[in-house]
Amino acid sequence: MKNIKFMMLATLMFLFIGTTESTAQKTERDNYTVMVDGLGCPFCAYGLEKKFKELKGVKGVKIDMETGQFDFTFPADRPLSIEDVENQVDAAGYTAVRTSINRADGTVVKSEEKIKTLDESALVTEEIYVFGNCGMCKARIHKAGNELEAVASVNWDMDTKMLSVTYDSSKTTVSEIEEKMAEVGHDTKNEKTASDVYEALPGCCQYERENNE
Amino acid sequence: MSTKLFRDVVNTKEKIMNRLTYLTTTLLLSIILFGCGETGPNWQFEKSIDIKGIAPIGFDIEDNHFWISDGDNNRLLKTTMDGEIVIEEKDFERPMHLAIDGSNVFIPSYGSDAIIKYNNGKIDTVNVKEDLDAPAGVDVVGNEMAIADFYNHRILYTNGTNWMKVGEKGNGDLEFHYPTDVQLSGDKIYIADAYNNRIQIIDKAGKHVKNIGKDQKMNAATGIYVDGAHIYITDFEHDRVLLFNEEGDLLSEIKEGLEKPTDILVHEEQLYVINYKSQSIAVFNK
Repeated sequence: MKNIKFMMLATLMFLFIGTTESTAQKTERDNYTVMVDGLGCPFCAYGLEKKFKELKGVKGVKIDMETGQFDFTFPADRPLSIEDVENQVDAAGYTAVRTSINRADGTVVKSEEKIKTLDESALVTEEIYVFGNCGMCKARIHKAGNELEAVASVNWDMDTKMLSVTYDSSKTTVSEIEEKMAEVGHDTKNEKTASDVYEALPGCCQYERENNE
Repeated sequence: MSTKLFRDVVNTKEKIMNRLTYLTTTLLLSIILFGCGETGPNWQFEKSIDIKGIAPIGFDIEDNHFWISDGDNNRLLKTTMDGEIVIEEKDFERPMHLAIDGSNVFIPSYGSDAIIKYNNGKIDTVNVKEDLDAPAGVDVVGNEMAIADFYNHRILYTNGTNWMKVGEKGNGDLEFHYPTDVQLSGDKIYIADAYNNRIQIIDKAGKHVKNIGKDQKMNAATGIYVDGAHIYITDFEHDRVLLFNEEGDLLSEIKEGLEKPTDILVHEEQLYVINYKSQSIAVFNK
């Protein structure tokens, strides 16, 4: 009889430990922090959260509109890469500046920052008219400009729509910069964005196009 | 009658006619230059109520208190008219432009795609006969309800029995581009057609009535209020409120004390505007 009791107790303890371990594994979560540029309009910013909730398992979402910090957690057994996260931010129409992931196992992953070396004697500054509306547009325009290897700096004025761009004239042209703007959704006087790219911009970024396009 | 007397009579008559012509011309010119003289209420900034820690999206007034949806912090709040919190209800999912009807507070829950009815601590989900995608505004009058269905670019309306859905994505009549707020008034539905940067008015049968404000170059028409004779709209990015008459004429622009305004209302001869960025409520007197 004692043996039977012992066996039952042991089985229950085994099951209890097993369940606890399994729960612990299930509840282990990675912490994600994305610095998102241009989070000014709450109506669209809440859409970022909505977009991430499409990834089943996202929890603990926090958005700091002032700093642009976007935090969430995700199950550790389905890890997202930096690229996965930034692609999801892009899909929601936003601009990820940098991303860091604190894995449940203690490792930390961060997006790399590119350092450019440009010939200062070849730098020129030009002004380009770039269509856009809001802070989110500004973030997207700046990121697109900075992604070009030969661009040293960009500054887009939301009121005048003028993009001041400093670039290495031996390596790129105004034409290429305009093409890049159009590629990410922003018309210029000489380059037009594809309709599907324009349509995918968040509502607040869908500026009035010339010629009723 | 002597010749002199005759001349005097003629001269006097000419003078009177000239004076009348002058007055008539002046009156006509005034009408042409200044319309009918309608300027609407002359709102003067009185004060700003500090609501730091609250990121307000929508609000209403009931029993001398504000009900405020705190979008960033997922809260429904009741405050005094000085901004002191007296009720805090957490666990809402991005509450937006709310409405009060009787003792019920109706809250569009952008994050959970639902309309929530709150009454003295009791929370119910309103049965809506269509799938919502990020509802951003609601208005309720008796059995009637109108909803601004943000990501579906449409307006839903029920008279308490039947549901009507109007709109799709676009910038034409009966098309919307992310509607954020809605108000029922008389036989019409007034819509803040946010990223079409205009007010759109439809009737309760779903017919287009009028578009207003497109020429004002707004940037995100976020909150709307109608008092019967006037239509108020918040222009989020330009830190201002525009006031129109029913014909769509711009009557005035209000800028003082506004910083990223999201909602507006008139209550007991005062105008209230909530500021998302400065976390405050601007109060105006006539």
